[in-house]
Amino acid sequence: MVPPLDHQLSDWRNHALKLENEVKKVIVGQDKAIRLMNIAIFARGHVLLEGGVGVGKTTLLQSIARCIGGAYERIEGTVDLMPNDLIYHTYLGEDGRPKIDEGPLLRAGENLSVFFFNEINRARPQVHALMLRVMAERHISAFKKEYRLPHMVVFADRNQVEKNETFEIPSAARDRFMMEIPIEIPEDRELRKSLMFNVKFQHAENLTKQVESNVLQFDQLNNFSDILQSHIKSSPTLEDYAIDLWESTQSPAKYGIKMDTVDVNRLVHTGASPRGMGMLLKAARVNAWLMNRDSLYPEDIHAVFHELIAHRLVFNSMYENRRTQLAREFTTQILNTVAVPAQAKAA
Amino acid sequence: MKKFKNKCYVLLGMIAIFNGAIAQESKIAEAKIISVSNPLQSHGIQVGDVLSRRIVLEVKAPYQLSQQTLPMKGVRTNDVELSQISITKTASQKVIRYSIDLRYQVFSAVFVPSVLQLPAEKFALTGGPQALSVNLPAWKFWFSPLAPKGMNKARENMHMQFKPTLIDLQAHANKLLVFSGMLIVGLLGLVYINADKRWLPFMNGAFAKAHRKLKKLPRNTDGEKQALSYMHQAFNQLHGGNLFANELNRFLSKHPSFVKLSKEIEAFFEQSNQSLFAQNTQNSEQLMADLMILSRSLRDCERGV
Repeated sequence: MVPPLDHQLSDWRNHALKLENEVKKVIVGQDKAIRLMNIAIFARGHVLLEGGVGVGKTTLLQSIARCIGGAYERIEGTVDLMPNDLIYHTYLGEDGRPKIDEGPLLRAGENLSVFFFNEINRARPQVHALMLRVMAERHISAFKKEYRLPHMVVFADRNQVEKNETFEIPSAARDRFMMEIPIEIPEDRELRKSLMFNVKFQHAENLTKQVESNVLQFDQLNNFSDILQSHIKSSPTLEDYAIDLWESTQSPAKYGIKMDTVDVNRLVHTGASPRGMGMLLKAARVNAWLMNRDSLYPEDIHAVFHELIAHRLVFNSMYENRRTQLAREFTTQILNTVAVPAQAKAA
Repeated sequence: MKKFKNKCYVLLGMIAIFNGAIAQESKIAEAKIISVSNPLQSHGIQVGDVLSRRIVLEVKAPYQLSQQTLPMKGVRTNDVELSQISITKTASQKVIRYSIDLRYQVFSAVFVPSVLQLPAEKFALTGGPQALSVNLPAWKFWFSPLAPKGMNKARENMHMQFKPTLIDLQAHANKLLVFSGMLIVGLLGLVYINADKRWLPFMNGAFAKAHRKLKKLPRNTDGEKQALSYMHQAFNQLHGGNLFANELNRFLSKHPSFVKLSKEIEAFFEQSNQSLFAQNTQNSEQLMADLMILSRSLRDCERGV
């Protein structure tokens, strides 16, 4: 018997908040990133993590994967990685004959819940192309049959600092990721001290074992996500606001958006895509649900706006090397300038 | 009747005494002084003053006033000179009535107040068997000198002329200034608090504008949405960007004058979210009334009232 909707929403919310609390036990100073990843899980979106080396990206992903339940697979991005390395691998069996086995993408089959692509920008575009297809379609044909991956979410990370032997992820590929979440070193001095001196942070593997496993039922997330998305309503005012935000990414000058260091008209080549805006609203609805509301507020959009939009923007090439900084400033200016309710209507 | 007789006797007695007094002056029966009029004031008489006396006589026939023995005009007696004498005569069968006007002028040069007198005069009667006369008694008065004794040169008696001291009004002027200032400040304050118009400086704040606009809106659902928009615009304008509920703490730290309304502001954002985004039906009329009160309070905060 299916429980009433209110109970479902409430129960799942409790699970979601528990997941956050479990991860926070082992990952400190990343509350916002944890909340965003939680949103991505319930919005069924793939996540690109961006940050330096040794900031805890892998531990974070492993902890979350443990909470979600299901199978967790991982692959390292290298310059010689080929698409077939994701699908199968060959080896010599005990009988001395060559054998072929399923690769990390297929090994767990439908039980795959988290696929972690470490340093995705080190992989070649061919690998990107395969991953993008799987991410979009969630199935792949191999060994003369179709593998379905309905519960899989991809968590990838990239190191923005190091540029040698890396391949920039094209805008179309970035657009497949629901969010790009920055993982930054905590600024709080006490947290930093704890990270340095608390011995529990020395062994990441042991750390993740402290996280309770299977907090969520990974194979029910898709169904619940659909229920959640149908449940959260948006008013005409908010829909107008979302449209204004979208248009402001395409024609910032029209909305009076200004930046200190660059001319916005020359900065933006292409604004957010329709898929991106759809994902934005999807993630915002999850945020509203986590805040125990059944209506979308502007704050829900703000909570995910930068992480949903920044990596989708295509800047003119002269600004690409300052992308991280400019994207942050641009999205901040948009939220600060585009009014809700729209001033034109109010005046 | 007896009483009447007694009264008549008393009256006759008094007349007899009166006649006796006059007779004392004239001491004759053939002539009598009817009246003597002396100057009204017997003091403060100064040099050059003219004093007049009038004496009215009745002389029985055949006597008459002797014209040759009348006092002489120009005769000076003790610094009082007879400057004019005129006689008016009214005759009947038995008596002649004389009205004698005497004018004296004082020429005394004494330097101290002193008693002078209009001299006693004697009017002789002729025409009868006896030499009779009527005596007019002297009339004394106080003479007041014009200048003190011993004044030789005017310069010695001159005093420096001082400008009269003005009453000091500075304290009153100060008070007037202070109270006028207080009055003006008070009036400006009242105008500042109560006026909606923008003809004073600092009156065109974001919430002042919003309050003005809110007053013109209809009290229905459309008006409610519009009112919320105006309020948000005012908050955004003051904040320098879009203001949402999760940034209220930053807003209040930037604008401490609004801290006292923090609960009301939070409630406004919640109501706004409910109305604009949750689409929960609210009592528009009540909400508009609340917004009017809030916008007015925020306007006062904005003006620092």
